[in-house]
Amino acid sequence: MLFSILASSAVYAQKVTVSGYLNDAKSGECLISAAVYDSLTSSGTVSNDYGFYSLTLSKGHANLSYSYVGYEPFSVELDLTRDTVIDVRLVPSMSFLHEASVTASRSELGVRGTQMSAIEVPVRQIKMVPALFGEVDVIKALQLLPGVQSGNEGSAGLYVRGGGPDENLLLLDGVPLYGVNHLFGFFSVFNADAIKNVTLYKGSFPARFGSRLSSVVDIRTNDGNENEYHGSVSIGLVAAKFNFEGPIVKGKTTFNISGRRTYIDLLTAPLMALEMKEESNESDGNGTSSGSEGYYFYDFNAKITHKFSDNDHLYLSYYKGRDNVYASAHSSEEDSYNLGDSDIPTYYDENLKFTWNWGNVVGALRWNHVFNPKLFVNTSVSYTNYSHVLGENVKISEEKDQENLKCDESIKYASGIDDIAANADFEYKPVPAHDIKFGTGYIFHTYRPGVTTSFSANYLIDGMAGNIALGDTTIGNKNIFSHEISVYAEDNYDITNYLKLDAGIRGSFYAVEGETYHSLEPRLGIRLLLASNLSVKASYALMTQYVHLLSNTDLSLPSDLWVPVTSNVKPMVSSQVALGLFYTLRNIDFSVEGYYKGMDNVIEYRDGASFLGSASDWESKVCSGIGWAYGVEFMAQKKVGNTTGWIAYTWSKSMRLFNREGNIINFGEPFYSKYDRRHDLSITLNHTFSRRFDLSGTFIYCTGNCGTLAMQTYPQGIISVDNPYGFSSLSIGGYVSGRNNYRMPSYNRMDIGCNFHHYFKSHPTWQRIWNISIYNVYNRLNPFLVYMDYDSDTNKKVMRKVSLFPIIPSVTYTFKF
Amino acid sequence: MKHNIKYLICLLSLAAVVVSCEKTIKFSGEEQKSMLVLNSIATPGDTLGVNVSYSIFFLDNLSEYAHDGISLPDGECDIKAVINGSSTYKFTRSDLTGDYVCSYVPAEGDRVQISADVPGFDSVKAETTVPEKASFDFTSHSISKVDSTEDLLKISFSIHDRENEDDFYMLRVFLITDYSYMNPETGKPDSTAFVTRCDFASSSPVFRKLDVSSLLEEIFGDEFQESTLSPLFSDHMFDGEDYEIEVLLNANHFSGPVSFSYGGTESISDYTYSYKVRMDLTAVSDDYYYYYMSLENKDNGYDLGELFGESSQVYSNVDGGIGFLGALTGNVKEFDF
Repeated sequence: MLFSILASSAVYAQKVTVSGYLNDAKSGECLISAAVYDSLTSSGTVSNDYGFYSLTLSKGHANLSYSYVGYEPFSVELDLTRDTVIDVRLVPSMSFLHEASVTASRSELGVRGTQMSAIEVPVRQIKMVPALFGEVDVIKALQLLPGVQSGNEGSAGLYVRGGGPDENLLLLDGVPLYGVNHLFGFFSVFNADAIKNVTLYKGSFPARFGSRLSSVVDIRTNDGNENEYHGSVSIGLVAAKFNFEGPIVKGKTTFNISGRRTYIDLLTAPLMALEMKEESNESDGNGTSSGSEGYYFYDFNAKITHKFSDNDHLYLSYYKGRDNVYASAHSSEEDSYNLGDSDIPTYYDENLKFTWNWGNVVGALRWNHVFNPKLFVNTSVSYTNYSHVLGENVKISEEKDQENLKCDESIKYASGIDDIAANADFEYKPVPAHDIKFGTGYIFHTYRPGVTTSFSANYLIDGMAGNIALGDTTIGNKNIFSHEISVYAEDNYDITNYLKLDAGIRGSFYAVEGETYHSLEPRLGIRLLLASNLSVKASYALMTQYVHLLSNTDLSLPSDLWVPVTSNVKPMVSSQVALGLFYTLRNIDFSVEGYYKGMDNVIEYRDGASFLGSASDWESKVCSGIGWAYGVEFMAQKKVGNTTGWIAYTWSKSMRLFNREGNIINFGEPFYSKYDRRHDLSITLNHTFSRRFDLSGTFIYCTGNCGTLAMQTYPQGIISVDNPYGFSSLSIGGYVSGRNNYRMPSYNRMDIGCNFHHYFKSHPTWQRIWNISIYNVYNRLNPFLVYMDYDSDTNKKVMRKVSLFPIIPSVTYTFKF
Repeated sequence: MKHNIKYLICLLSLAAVVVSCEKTIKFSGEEQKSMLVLNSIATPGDTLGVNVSYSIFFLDNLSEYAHDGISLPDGECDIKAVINGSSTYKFTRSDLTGDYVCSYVPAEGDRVQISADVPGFDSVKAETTVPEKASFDFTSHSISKVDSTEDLLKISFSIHDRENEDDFYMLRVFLITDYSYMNPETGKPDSTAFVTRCDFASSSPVFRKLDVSSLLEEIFGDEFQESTLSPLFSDHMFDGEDYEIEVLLNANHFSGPVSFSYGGTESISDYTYSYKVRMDLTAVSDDYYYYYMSLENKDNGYDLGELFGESSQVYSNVDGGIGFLGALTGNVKEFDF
């Protein structure tokens, strides 16, 4: 433990404030939500997202203890006579799973805090969860939590308490991300090596969060080791990764960079080139051909942190991720043909390039400033971009008997969204009983719903330099600009030792294309402490969302479009109440929580409508209605010890109703939401046998989600507009008794993984890790989709399912230094 | 571009197939027994008929042709219509059409209920109300030249909607060319009319747009068909009001002076002709409105909609079964043009 105490000259009546930063003693990384507790007055607080804490106490004796999961606790006794700055550096516990490392004053998310419906998952636990193809995935780990469902097999979507995949605010160091999926949702964009902390909010949203109905996923990345250089290199079944961090100026400036790239295309490229060469050699004529094609994705995270002083910290972070499907082909042929007595030579050359890519770019600059021990501010400016581009270029050159033809033609389709944002968030702790947060934010959105651009084709014929230009043509939708302003204030108030209240209000204003919307969103959380380890909590939150995602809910496609609200499609609104019981016993946190969420202006596609096609007039493809979801969630989570993990069970129901004029679905009758799942159980367990070996496993069972299936065929009367007074014919059609009328078969799966660690005696910081994992251990063929087919062997109609992922073993090698 | 996208879609699909597996499974839902299917439209002036059939569970190993009617003697089927809760009409099977017919002729305002009891099936019934004739008047019309080849016909009319009633309408516009000529066979004056129903355009918000382009064309291709409007609309925007609607038609749908055959052996080249516009504003029952709209939704589903789009539900108002009973009452007005 290392700490420093600075006595401030400021004196405030009989109260003094202890403040400072909590950091990791080895790396200097700030510790988020670490506990600070005075056992004499039973007052406590937690560090914020930048490791800063502030605790106002009475003058006199204090017994302060600092604690954080995975670290040795630290205590100090002192006499407080004036404002004091104590920067504490906690030492990671050697048996880092030390059982009793977290003391009585738990974090906001625990028994004593007002925050409910929120779960913090240690990154260490996320990394131990066995993953598809061995790729550790933050979003897949979140899908194992209560109240959170995945969409389909392998999907990286989040469906939280009956909400859709566009109702989640995913923040990377406070900046919203729009496209968070690689490879149609099978992997997320988050590289676990770059991440420090992940917190999921499913309800009881603090007033500083808004803009989405169902959840907030707050992901913080590593700052970098301020003392030493460290890194890791990892190669798995699908991708290779690296991480490198260290000081630029020791104790002041640090950096952290991480990268990941799939490499299957690199391995197959030489083989494909060889194959194309062999094909061209075998073909008749004097032609040659070459080319390449493939797919890859990559993520790159970078962060620089600089400490001007104890009161001023600057952070610069950057993320870029991309999926790229590419193909190029080049062919040429020399030949000749007979014309009378002469041989006329001909020459043909074609060059084709195709590209299809999508991804995010995020940049953020943040400045932390401590005005005084009670007032902290974080200001930031950020830029986020999601873009999707589909393009092709063809160049042709042909010579034949004095005729020359050259052609250069391109077509490109592009869509996406850009945000430029500025935020200021204040934390003010005037007295121990009050923890006040307030702030404001502004976002300038640019929506690019889809534009097709065709460039001119330039022809040169018979040596004549004439351009038969087709002209630059742009068709599609113009950009849509909008402004979003928010202000909020909240106070976490200790009314008594037993009763705590978190009251907040958030105001938002949205302006787009002449339309303006505003919303006042109250937030309320109450905690009643029944015993030191038992509390009951209740909460209410109203949320407003001004954007929609037009997508197919089975696959996350790069062409999914974010569109703003319009005069016809109003902002979505949700009201959620929750009630829960929280209990801690021997470092196991138990919770049982019930919720009810009502939603208004949710959208669904009309019958027969599809997300494919142009985005023009997308409003006519959707209907607006209401939804409601309720359920009970149970969780037992253990974060420390040799055995860690959680058991989560959810019983839930999610419904929709579209019966407004012009917005009728299912003929105005209620229907199940597509991802309504009655039962959802997940068990995640990790056990560390020794420093050299640990084992982990997950088991998931959930009842099937819904789909629409025509279970009867019958003669449908066809009416023609030319003669509406009778049926023009009877045509056999399928009878759909209702939207989402069919329940898919249940889903269950078990994954296991183990890590073998080898430590180098010559280099104590070096480590070699072999990870072996098996996805879907007992090869359960879970349904991705079902359909009706005819079995020619038995001459019977049968139902078939398509399953995506059978048993998949994987091996990953990691070297850490 | 088209080729490469299709190639890549195939490649990615193949990749999915390579790692995916297919298996026959047991149907996990409740097996549904066959239900009676009724299909009938009631319109004033035409005797009421109903097509009676039955549905087949999608996993039943019956041919699609098994739907063809109920082949039972009349005595074993009890299919009847009850009008306004009092008069009862029994249906008998027509050997000509296979449908069931009765002597009842619907009138405006009648409440029609059809029920069917067939051995081996649950009883079914459906109900509808024959709507009152819609009230409307022409207000103006004009023609303007768009270019040297195209004329645009604008017609305005005013609907007199009933207050506090949910009314539903279908609009159809016809352009008629009346030919008058001397019949060479009879030696007497004769006439014949060419009637063309026209799609119309309108900026009125009551009409729903239907996208008729193929999805694949829209993504990959070059040609887009213009959207058409559904002929159906409701009064939710103008309940109880006199509401004016303007429609636009391509006047070239009037068939111009041509040599035509009257049906005899000679073609006629000496004739006179005149133009007429006919508007049929049909009042439809709410069931008819929802049923027709659901058929439009189903037809407008994109080519790939079955894979990636939402399934279409065809409306049914048959309790205990499937099918549709609706009603409509036409109101035709014409003006010379």
